[in-house]
Amino acid sequence: MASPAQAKKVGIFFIVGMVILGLITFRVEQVGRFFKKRDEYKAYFQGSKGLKRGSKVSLSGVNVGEVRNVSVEEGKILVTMAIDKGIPIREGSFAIIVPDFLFGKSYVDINLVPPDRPRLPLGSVIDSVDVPGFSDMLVRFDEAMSSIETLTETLESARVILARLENGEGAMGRLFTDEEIFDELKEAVTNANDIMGKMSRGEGTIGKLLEDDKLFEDLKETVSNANIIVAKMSKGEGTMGKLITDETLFTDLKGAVENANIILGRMVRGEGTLGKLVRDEDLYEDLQNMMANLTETVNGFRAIMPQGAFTSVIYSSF
Amino acid sequence: MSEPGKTKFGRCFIALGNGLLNFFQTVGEMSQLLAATILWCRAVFKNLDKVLPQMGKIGADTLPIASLTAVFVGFVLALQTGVALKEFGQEESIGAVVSLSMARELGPVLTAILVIGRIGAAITAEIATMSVSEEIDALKTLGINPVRYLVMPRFLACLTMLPVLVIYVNLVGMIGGAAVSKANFGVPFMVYIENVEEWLTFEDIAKGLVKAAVFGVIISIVSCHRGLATVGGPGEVGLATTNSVVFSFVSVYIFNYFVTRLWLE
Repeated sequence: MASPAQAKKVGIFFIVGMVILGLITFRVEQVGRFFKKRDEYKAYFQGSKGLKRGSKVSLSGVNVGEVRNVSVEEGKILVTMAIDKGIPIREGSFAIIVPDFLFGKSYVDINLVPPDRPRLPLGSVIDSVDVPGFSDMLVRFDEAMSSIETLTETLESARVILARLENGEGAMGRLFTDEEIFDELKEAVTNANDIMGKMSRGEGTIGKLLEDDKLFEDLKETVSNANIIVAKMSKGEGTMGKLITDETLFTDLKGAVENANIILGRMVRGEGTLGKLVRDEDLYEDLQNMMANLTETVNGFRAIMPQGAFTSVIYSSF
Repeated sequence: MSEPGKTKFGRCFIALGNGLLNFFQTVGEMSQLLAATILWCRAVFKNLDKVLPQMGKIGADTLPIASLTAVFVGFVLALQTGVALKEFGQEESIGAVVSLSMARELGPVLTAILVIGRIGAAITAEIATMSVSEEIDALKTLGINPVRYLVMPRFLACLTMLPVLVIYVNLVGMIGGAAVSKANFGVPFMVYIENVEEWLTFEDIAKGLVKAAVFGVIISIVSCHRGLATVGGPGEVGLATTNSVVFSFVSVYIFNYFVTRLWLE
């Protein structure tokens, strides 16, 4: 057997160790909470952010309970919380998951609202706000950096443009720096003002268009006449009306077009006199020669015409 | 064509192969020893006279040096993290950092290292001396199973006392951290305790204790095996002790990673 002293030493060592473990456990796990009565509340979140069963629940930083369950429901994360009885959770309170980057122990925090607000019934759902996690913040930071880069590029472009303006480069630059262009522009504006003034006074054609009611009346009358014509046409009155409404006229016109087509076809093929005129080169040359001869004959006739006339006068006088 | 053992590459290859085979053999022998030891645990009540002295050596006798180590580790941990946390105005979080570090990692690993150096080496030296002086053979001749007589008591002592030792180490380390927090960073003792209570959970402590029990098994089996496997003269005792300590250290580090990884799933 081991000596009693050795056994005592081991026994004391072991028991004291267990007592320390028990005390530490009692303190860190707050064993007293097992004997506390608690109310259940729920909250829906987009993500659990490391929240798990046993995570603490605080009311504006004061520990008031723990997470009883984390589950997925209706496409959201349902967090069921056990909150010490007597702790008032009121309407208008909202829950957030506070992610812990250092120790990886996230918890739920509920904000305090004025005590005049009515208490939420037991088991009800507390409004929730999803605060961005570390990764979300990194994504947003990245987006913000991209925006800043774009802004920087834009500012750089603006700086270049301003420098060019200062140096009087380009049309705008010259406008900024060249007094002569400014004067011309000023004059143009003055002229435009004059024109606008005349127009507003009803001077000139455009002025009259703006000011004179007679033109409007004329236009109105024209439209009215056009309406009458269209109405007549739709009733089949007149040639145009008949063209629209009369089938016979349409048939006649169609027949005429067909005949014209036949004639034109024959002409293209060189049939008949007109066709020969179109197709036969010899006939064309003969006609040209005939025309030349005829011109020559007429010219000769013109030349002898005065002599003939004179001779006729002489002969007639005798 | 030259023989493989005559070229440099051939000799390296053979040495590597032999080393690998020896390693497999050692692991296999240790597994057998562990199984035999667990089987012999049924005889614990008949061998309490051998178990209790080992428990005393590993537990109570190691406590002073373990406490000294733990308190200074707590000092350093609080000092190092306190400086960094002060930059962000988070000095009151020192309690959380120290307690979580001690409970999850430093407590079990530091205690295991201490026990390897103080107890594991002693176990190997003692059993190796018995081996080379043929006392083990004498025990077998007398019909006494060396596993029941030598290994099982040390195994049970390490398995039970290492976690208890870790409880003390955790507490002392946290107290050391509290002292430095107060002295160097002006964190009131109660604020420190409240911070520990807020962040430390029983789960953290329990994980550390399970780790300590695993380390206890490793230390006892490795130390006993290296002692039992020692053959030759007294010179081999020193070599076996060195091997035992190195093997235990490496095994503890490797198992520490895998146990931690297992819990992270």
